[in-house]
Amino acid sequence: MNDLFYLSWQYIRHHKNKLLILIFAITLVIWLPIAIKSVVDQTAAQLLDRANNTPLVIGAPGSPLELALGSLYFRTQTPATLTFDELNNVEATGYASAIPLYYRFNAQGHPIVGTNPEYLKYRQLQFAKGRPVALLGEAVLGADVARKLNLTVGDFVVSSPENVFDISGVYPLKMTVVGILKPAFSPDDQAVFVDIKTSWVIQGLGHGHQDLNNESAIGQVLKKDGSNIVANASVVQYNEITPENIASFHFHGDYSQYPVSAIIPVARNKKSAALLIGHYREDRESVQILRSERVIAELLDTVVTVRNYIFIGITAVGLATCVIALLVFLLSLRLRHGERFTLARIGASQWQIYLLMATEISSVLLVSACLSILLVLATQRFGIQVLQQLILT
Amino acid sequence: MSLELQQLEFNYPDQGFAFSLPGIVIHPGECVAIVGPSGSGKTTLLNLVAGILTPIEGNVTLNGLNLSALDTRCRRLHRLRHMGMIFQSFELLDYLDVRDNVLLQARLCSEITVDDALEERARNIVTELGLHGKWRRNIQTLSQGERQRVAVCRALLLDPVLVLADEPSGNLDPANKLAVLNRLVDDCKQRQRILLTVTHDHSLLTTFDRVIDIAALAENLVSTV
Amino acid sequence: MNYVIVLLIVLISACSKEETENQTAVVGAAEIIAVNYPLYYFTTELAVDLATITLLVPGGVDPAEWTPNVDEILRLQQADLVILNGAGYSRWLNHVSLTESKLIDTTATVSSELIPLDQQTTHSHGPQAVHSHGGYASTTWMDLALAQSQVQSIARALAETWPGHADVINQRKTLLLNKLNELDKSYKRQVEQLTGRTVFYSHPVYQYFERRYQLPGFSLHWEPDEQPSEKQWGELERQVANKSDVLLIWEDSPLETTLQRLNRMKIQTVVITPAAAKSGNTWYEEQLRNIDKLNACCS
Repeated sequence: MNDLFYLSWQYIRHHKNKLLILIFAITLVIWLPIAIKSVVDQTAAQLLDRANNTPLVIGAPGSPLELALGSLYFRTQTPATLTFDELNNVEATGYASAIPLYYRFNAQGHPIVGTNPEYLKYRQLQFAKGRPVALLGEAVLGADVARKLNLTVGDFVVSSPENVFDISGVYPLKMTVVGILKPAFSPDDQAVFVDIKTSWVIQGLGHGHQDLNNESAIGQVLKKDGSNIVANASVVQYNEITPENIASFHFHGDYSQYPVSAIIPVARNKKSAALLIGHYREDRESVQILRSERVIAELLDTVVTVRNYIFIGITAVGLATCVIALLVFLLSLRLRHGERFTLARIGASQWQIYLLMATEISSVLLVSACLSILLVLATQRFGIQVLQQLILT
Repeated sequence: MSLELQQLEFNYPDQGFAFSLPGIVIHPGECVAIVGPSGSGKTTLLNLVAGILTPIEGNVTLNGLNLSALDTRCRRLHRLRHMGMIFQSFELLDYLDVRDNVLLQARLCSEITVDDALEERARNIVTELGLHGKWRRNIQTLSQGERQRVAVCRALLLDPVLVLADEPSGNLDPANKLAVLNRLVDDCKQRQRILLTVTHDHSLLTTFDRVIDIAALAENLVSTV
Repeated sequence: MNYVIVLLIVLISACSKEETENQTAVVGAAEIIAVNYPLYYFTTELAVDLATITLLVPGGVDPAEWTPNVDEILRLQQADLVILNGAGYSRWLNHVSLTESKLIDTTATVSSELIPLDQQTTHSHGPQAVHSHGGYASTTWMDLALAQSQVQSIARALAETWPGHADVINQRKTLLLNKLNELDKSYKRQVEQLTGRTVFYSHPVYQYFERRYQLPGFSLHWEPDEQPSEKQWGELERQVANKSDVLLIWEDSPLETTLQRLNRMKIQTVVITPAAAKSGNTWYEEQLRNIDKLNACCS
């Protein structure tokens, strides 16, 4: 038997190029549909997991999918907004507590999520370094943000302007990094968390500036009209909140009318959740409440449909590949007719001849199967991360 | 210790071919050429002697063993162990080098273990046949004459009692033909093997001890379909 | 046996906390933080066995001027409830990150009764309208009717947070409201005796007291522990010229020299402390002392 394996091995060595091509093709045909299914299933599981962990979301009327994607994954182009007083409305029902989210802005491609301290507890996010946000102008980074921007506690992260040509619009705010989160393997890893009031400062709803009563501000004062001081446009507005200037930061107007992208209601129990949904669907037309898992499940149905079409395509290609591989094997057998004849005349037994002939197909199938198994395991372990890396880069 | 062909009769019914041979005895060390026109049954005779075919009548006896009475498996094993086969087209495996082609028959024989001693013997045979330095060379890099010598080495490795050669020099140039044949004949005489060679080349007949004209010898019944 | 006793002692002593610089009362898994001493007192009266009630402001520091540091902010984040005074009392609220649902604005339900501060500096710049950084007078508890509203807000928040103890909370609320009601009546009786007097207040922290007890007066900006300037003395002399029976109400005991000069000016003084910060007495005791002092100055 060893001699036969030796002869088989010599055959494989001599025809390695052809066999490698066959192995590559067959491995691809086996692995690709499994990999796609695995990645899609894992992605779906992650999406659903995120949705299941956030059963309800409240937002402005509009596309439920837009609201779900924005509030769960912070991916949205132009989020419609609620007003901040909706939090009180949620609390007033007695059915749930409310966590605000405002994710309009970003910092170098990473969403800035304005929220309150409950969000990190709700998501069970833990700190690798530092502490939670305590003050206006502080930021906590998701693990991926810290790694990509090479930032640590004590560094600064700057918000990106929405429009580089609109100098009177949203302008960059320099925020102090006070904490870095541990990897959560969720969209939270790619986010910059700030207090929601900091988001409002970025938007310009709040600001800090030099004291106009101070003598040093004389150059910025246009006139004094009774007890009102009218300042000119040169008044310095701070784009960084420091211990020295934080007291000067203030907000105009009524908080309750300030914008919020979404609210996560944390229902006290299932019954309260149902009552909350009923309350919002029947009594409140100016907001929408959605069940995240349903919206995401509908999205996944579409993804699965697309996946199935891809499977059909791959299956067709796979069948064609198998037919071609079979043709190659049959041609190879035909080419080895003389070899079989020689072996038989020398005195080899039929099973010895069969074994040698089967070398080619069995080695290809065996190696393809092994490679496929390894690739499937690797895909299940690393597929999502590699895909995300490819997409992000 | 001889090869005896006793009143062999054989036919391919669907091809309308049949022949019968009277008794022939070939002694050890005797080199016999088998000649005859195409279709006269030369290769068939070799196959009958090798045990690949079974005669309808008669026996093939080698060293007292009636090969015709053995079953297919036993005849195959006997051929593998005690006979060497040389083919017109050499029938070497192109994915093996000289070494592995020479050792091929040994690897197929379960009685034989390919060990250092056998490999040394194979190397010596290869050297004796003028292939020194080509031990690990791929077959495809050798000339026709070199390949035929490799085929001869393969046939001789297991020290067969009977060497069957079917047009062994058919694809060689005149110089190589004679060279290969002379080496084969010399080896057989030295080792007292029986050499049975089918050949069309009458220029080589003087090399042999005996020439059997199968057409003249056999009652060849050919029917035209 | 001795080992067991020692262990019991250790356990018992671990179950009671010494008062630290941050006032705490009772140990529980939950924590309620109040931003000033009156609210701390009200909350303690209502929830003494439900949670640890904490006043983060160190003793002797005016809570209106206090700003929490980062560690204190993180503690506020962890608290189950944060009892706020409202009316812009805690100016640091705009700068810290807290969960809105835990913040109990005790004057939210009586916002219409808050007294806006006048003569504040406003400013405008750019396209925004005129706006000011002022707000409302914040010593709301000095109006004991408003204080009762604050107690109601605290009790409501406690009952929502610990619904299983709602009955006990309501009972305690009733008792506390009765106490405050009695204090309110006592203040009224005492202040009635001051009718017709010219009243000055050392600091503009008595707006709600003035309104509630119909004791209007002129607010100075004198610090009890500082010598008033000659300009300030001059201003007072102009104010009290041709006036008799002048009473100057202080938020804390003034310097002896100040007292003497006031005596020479025939200006009577009385200390009515807002008791915003913790002193040696409970807030209720301070109110009783205030009433006693009013009584003494009236007789």
